Amino acid sequence: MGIDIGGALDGARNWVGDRLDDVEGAKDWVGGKIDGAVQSAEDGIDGFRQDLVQFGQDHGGIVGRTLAQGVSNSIGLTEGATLAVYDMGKGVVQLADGAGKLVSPLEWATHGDRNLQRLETTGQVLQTLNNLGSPVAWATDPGGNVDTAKALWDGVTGGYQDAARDGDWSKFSGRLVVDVGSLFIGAGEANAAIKGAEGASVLGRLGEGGEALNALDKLADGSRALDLAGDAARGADVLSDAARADVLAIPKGARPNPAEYLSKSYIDQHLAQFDDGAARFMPPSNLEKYGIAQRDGTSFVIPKSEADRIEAAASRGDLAAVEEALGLKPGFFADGGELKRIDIANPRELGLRIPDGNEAGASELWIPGGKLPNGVPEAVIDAGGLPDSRYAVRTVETGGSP
Amino acid sequence: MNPKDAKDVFVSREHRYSLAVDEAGDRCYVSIPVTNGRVDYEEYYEIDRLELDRFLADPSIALAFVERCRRREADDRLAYQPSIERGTPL
Repeated sequence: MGIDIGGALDGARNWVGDRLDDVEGAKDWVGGKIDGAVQSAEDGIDGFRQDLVQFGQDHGGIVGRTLAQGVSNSIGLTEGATLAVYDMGKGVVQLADGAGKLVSPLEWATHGDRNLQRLETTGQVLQTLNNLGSPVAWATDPGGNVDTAKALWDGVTGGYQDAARDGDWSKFSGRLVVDVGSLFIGAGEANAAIKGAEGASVLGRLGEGGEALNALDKLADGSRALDLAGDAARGADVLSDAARADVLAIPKGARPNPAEYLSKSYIDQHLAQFDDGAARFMPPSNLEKYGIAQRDGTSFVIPKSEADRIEAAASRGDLAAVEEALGLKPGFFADGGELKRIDIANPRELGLRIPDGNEAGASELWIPGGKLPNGVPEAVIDAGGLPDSRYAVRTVETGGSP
Repeated sequence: MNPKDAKDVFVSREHRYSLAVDEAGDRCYVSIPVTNGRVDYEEYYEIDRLELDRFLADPSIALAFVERCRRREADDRLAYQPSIERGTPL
């Protein structure tokens, strides 16, 4: 294919090394700032990770992108861990971060000398790392260690990939906190050793030549899983209670743009849930008299998939589930209540965004982060003056209703 | 009350309220659209016939009452709201 993998790796390695210094600075900065500032750091690191993947693609095509994605995920893993343990205190953040570097292929590839210094002063961790193979090789021959990267990656992140595969995001987050934190205090070394053994086992199974590309394919799969897992983990608890309270303490009308306290990756992922369409429910009388927009022209919507679930419950006669999902009193339908479903295609054309809490329809139950109290994603669109032809309306059929 | 029995006699889309009378003609209401964040619906506040006539004759008087309803200062007149949690006026 004519791809100079080694050259691309060298270029990426040097570039990453320089950029990593910026990340280092950001992490130091993170340790001394308030929660709100942590979010800004996360945004910066996320942007850097995206740039890195693009760099890989530009310089190494698919292979380069795959490698860069792996590096990006390595940063993301450390980033996520740093954020996860942030609440444990600045000192833990810094020490856990340092411990994380000792099992980071990225750090060995770009700042191997620094890790060697760490090893000299961290004998117990050295023992663990010995089980992971030959870290010195990472410092001296990074381009020839693609297989090692795969093995090391799997060895270090296997648990996370398992958690991601199982959809157990809380476990995923928990592993981040426990593993990184406990590595620092010593208890996690056993875990790391187990992972190291797994990594060594993978190394033994890996062959040469074509199998390296197979390994890259698997690495890409793992990378995608980790990307999703990382985003989902952030989404599962996007804001701390304190940060959420801070936003809610600001009077309606003066609340900040969610971009000020949510990461770009979180916002992108959140809004992507509406790519298949947006929907909302209301009684026929509301629709006929006032249309789908609120006084300020905005309209709250949920993803089409969520509306499908609610409508499916209605269709099978599970009206209690519908009433619960929509926050209606039991008996709403039994008393003759009716609902219309309004579907809006291509909501991004209507300014789809995460609510900032200043909207006319932002109730006392509104919480920052784009989710309803029951966890269903929500967004707002600009629907004022929207022609009837721009949305579809249908009656929610209640199969089995009395 | 059941909102299905209330027939609108006046709707202000601009100021977002309605005046309604039940089928028997002996109960009158002001309704305002609200949302609980998941679904929109209407709250109904009972008024007497005299008030209805005044509200129909002078929308500014009606609007003053509507604002009281929105501020939940007329909850003693609240005849219907179907949400588990009180909604926010739209």
